[in-house]
Parts: sequence; structure tokens; C-alpha cells
Amino acid sequence: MSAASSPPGDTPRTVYLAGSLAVLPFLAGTVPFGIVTGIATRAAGLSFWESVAVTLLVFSGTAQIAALPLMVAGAPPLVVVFTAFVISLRFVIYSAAAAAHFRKLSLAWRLVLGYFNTDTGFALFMRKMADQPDFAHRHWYYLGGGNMVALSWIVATIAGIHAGAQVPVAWRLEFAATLAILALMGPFVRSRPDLVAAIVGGGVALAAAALPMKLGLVCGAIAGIAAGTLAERAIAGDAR
Amino acid sequence: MTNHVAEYGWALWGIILGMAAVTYLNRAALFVVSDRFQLPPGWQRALRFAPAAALSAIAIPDLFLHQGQIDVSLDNIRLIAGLGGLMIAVLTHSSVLAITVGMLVLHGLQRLAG
Repeated sequence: MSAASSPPGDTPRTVYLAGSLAVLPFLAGTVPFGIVTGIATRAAGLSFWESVAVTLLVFSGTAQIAALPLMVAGAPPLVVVFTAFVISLRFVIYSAAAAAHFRKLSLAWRLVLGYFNTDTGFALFMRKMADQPDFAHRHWYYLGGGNMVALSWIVATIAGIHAGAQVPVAWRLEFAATLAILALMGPFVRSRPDLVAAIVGGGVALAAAALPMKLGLVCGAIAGIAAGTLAERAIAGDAR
Repeated sequence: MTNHVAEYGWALWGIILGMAAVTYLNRAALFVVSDRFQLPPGWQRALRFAPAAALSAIAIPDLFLHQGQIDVSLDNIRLIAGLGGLMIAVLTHSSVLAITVGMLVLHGLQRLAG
């Protein structure tokens, strides 16, 4: 991380701004999805402040959306929390890739950057690092992009939460959460092992749906991960 | 479908805080320990399947179960609307369009049935 390797004009401030601006095109997906998430959260029956707390504290559209049908069905709290845990496991992979760039920062910096570990922020940061591996002040770039993602997500969801209170129950908008989950799966189902993980995960959850406390969901998630891993190994074995 | 959210009472705040804690843990843990620990590649590969497996485990029962039973007939309008939405998502990569089409199909079928 030597400052000498980047253009002399780069300061934390300009790098922060560059990160904030570079993320803007990615927000075309964040904003409408945030509005939908806000509306669906209210449609699921959460109060205004509960909905706002979810979006500020959980700050993960996928986990927020996935929790809604479970809460509507009255799933046990631990199952809802487990689901958020499994769905946010992908952040572990992102941070595994990005962590090497932040190793020398103070603990306070690393704790703050952790909150801004998002799908969009990660994609932006890794692209920049691929283009410019010796980039200085890279944590400021990450923070700039992350702040912009967080700001637009929070504003968009609160707008949706506000609008959601006016939507009649007869519109059945709680179903929008299920549709959003299907649409969200797209980026995660790119390879054949991904597809195996999805089919086995869904199939086992459906077959085990009669289990108490929504444990079928837990079984499905674990079976899906195992099946994806095995499928990947089988395909790699064939290729050899 | 009856909505059970109100039955949680204060436990709903427990759910919110629990979700916040586990998502933050997953986001930040490796940053925090980055000076001492790196995730083994085998684990990284397995974790890649978590979102697809978990999202599907939520959505599939939600679509196929109708009044507690697996229902693949035309009476299960949620299934048809969901498959419609999924098709649009696959074809257009637009989640907003997929949700819109899925909701329109749901309401269209509901009107036909009612």
C-alpha cells in the first residue's frame, strides 16, 4: 500500500469520492429493490419502526426479504435468524477475498468496513483492485462505495416502508417477497453445481415441510450446500 | 394465508436483533481476524452454494404448498404466478419486472377463479 505508486493527486478525500461515484451505475438495481423490500416489509405486518430497524440493522435485502414469508408463517425466531445466517454466508466469501487488502488497518476501521460488506460494494471493489492492484487509500474507496450503497438502500427502503402502509391487504403484496426471492436467486445460480444446490435445497425443504418449527428449511439449506459441493467434485472428477 | 407476525410480540425485536447480529458477524468476522486467519479454500467453495440452497428452500415450499399439501394443479395460483415470475427473471434479469409480472399473474388468476 505505498502512496508513491498512485497518481500524486490521490488523497483519501478524492479516493472516497471516486468510490462513491463509481458505484452509482450499480444502484439502478439497488433503489427499486429497496422500495419493493420496504413495501413488502410493511405488507408482511411489521410496524413502521420495526421495518426501519430491520433495514438499518440487518441491512441485507436478501436476508430481509427471505425472513418475511417465515415471519408471516410464524416460524420460530431461531429459524428466522438461522435463515438470515445461511443467506448472509456469502459475505464470508466476499470478506475472504477482500480481507487481504485491509489486514494492516486498525481494528476500528475493519469493524466499520465490515458493515459495508455488500454484494454491490464487493463487486465494485474487486473490479477496481483487478484494474489497479497497487491502488493507494483503497479502504477509502471501499468506504465511499459502501456509504453510497447504504445511503441509497436506506432511503429507498424507507420510501417503500412509507408507501407500504397505504397499500390495501387485498393486493396480496406479501407474495412480492416470494417473487423477489425467486428473482434474487438469479446471480447465485450460474453454474450446474449452483443449480443442483438450488434444486436439492428446494426439494428437500418441500419434502420435509411437515417437520415442526420450519426445520424443513434448515434441512433443505444444509442438503443444498452439501449437494452443490458434491456436484462440483463430481464434475471436476469427470473433467480429469 | 393467516398472518402470524403480530403473535411474536416483543420476540419480533429479538428476531430483528438476532438477524442483525448474524449478518454483521458474517460480513465483518474475516475482516476482524484478517491479520491472523484466512478461510481454507474448501470452505470458501462450499459457502458459495449457501444463497442458492437457502433461497430455494424458502421459495419452493412457499409455491408448491397450498393449504398444507403439495399442489401442482391449476388451482395453485401462487405456483403459476411464481413460475411466471421466475421465467421473466431468467429471461430479462430484471427483478422488478419479474415481481411485477408475477403479481399481475396472481391477480389475473385470482379474478378468473373468483
